[in-house]
Amino acid sequence: MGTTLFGFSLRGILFRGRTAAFAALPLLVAVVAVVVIAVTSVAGRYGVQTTLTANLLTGLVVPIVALVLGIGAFGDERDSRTLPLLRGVARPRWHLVVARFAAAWVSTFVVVLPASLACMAVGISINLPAADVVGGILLATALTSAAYTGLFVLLSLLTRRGLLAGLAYVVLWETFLAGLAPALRGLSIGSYGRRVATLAIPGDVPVGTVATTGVVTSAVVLAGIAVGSVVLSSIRLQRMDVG
Amino acid sequence: MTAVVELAGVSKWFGDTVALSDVSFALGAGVTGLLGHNGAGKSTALSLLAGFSRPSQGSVRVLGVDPHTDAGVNRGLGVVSDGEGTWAHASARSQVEFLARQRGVRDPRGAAANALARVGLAEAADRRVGGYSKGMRQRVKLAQALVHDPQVLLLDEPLNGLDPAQRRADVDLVAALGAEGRTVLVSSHVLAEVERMAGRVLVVVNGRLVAEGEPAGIRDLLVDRPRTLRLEGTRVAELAGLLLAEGLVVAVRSDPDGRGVVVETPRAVGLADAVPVLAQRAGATLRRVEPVGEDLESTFAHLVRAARGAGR
Repeated sequence: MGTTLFGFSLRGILFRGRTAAFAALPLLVAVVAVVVIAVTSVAGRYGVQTTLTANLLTGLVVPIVALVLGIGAFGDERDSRTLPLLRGVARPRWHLVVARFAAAWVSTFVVVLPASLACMAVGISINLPAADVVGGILLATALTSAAYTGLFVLLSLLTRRGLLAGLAYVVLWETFLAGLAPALRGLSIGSYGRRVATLAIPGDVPVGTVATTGVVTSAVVLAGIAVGSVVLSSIRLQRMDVG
Repeated sequence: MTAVVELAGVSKWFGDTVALSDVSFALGAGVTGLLGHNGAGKSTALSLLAGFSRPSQGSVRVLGVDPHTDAGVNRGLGVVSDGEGTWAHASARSQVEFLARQRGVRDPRGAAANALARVGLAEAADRRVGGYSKGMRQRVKLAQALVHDPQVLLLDEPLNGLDPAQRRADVDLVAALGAEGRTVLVSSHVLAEVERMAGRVLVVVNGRLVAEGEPAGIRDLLVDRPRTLRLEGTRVAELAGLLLAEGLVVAVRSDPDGRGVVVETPRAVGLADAVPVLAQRAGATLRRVEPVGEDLESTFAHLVRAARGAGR
């Protein structure tokens, strides 16, 4: 697997010091969950489950980890001047993009898994249906990761300052501006992710942070963002100067 | 000659900066040197041929296709680009094997082993490239370029970072690759190195192709030109007088540091031929003859003037 496009990409992403450093973020969520389960009553955990899943997992941990790993998919190649080498393979450029996107997506999913498991544990501990909790959180994590990763892979091909631009997007847009009006929420990946995550949350999350669309539509939108980003990234890689 | 690599009327500019201006050449089998000072446009030309960038004007063909749009060209094209160009996190073997597989080699493992052995990295092949010296990383790049046995090789300053022994080995390797019938374009700013590898030289100055031909002809062009020389030894003033009388120099002055005399000659080769005879006649003993105030830039500037004079 190490010499396939996907395998080589996955190794490049997973065995970076930066990836290990950012793995601490989901672990922190897991520690918080363990403490909550240990010291809080079942009734008190309802609000915590919402905060953990909607705000921390899909609202912070997933976008930050996807930002670091998604930008790295091509950004690191640009920084180390190996992008010409990567593009010098005898494969259609979209193969490269799909492999890099898939590697970054899988890596993001794996890195945030401790936080996902923690949210599941809290959900199950308050007697929510286990299938809903596990399915909802896995689906929300997978789709939100895919959308963010795809967007950041595209960003890494559009600008050399992808990390900075992506951070500004996550901090300013996703966590602040998009929550100001319902129309803006339609342009927020996080709001669709939180809508899917409502499958695993008791009641609803605060209306200002969730997309107005249904769960299925939200899931389709997230998948569409991921696919669209991969398509645009492929066109960009085909046309751009790399050396 | 069947053109395997071809640039036709190619210009490339970045904003207001013209990196290449109306450059045309075609290459067949054998090694061709691309000579020019830093910033002359060598890397830009190689980048265009490798398909890393598109020309602003003109067309580029490698193995009959546009290398920028047709990824299939990479089955027959090997590139050593300027700069880093290795994956620090991977071993030399894994990255060379990866590239072999991605370029359609049937036995990537065997091909990687052969390429690494050919560049002298067989023993260190399983170490992470991040821990390699610059010379070793340069050799990994060469192995990456060779692993799929390409018909065309584009080598951008492949001897950079190598010690003298490695340079000699790689000069021999590049010459051998050309002798095998491959089309090799190798860039350098050192004529002596290019001469040992290439049967043909292209000279690029300020983005323009100003000369091309056999290395000996290019050397004459570079050497036989107006030059200022310092003559050191005994009775050099008498020697300078004879040179002036023979019309071989046009000006003579004392060296400001008191180290002999400084002469200006319009044709250095003619002067070199006459000096031994005239030194004997003048009873002069020469300790040193050296150019004054020369650098690579001035040498290439002369070529630009020569090219303009020739109407290029």
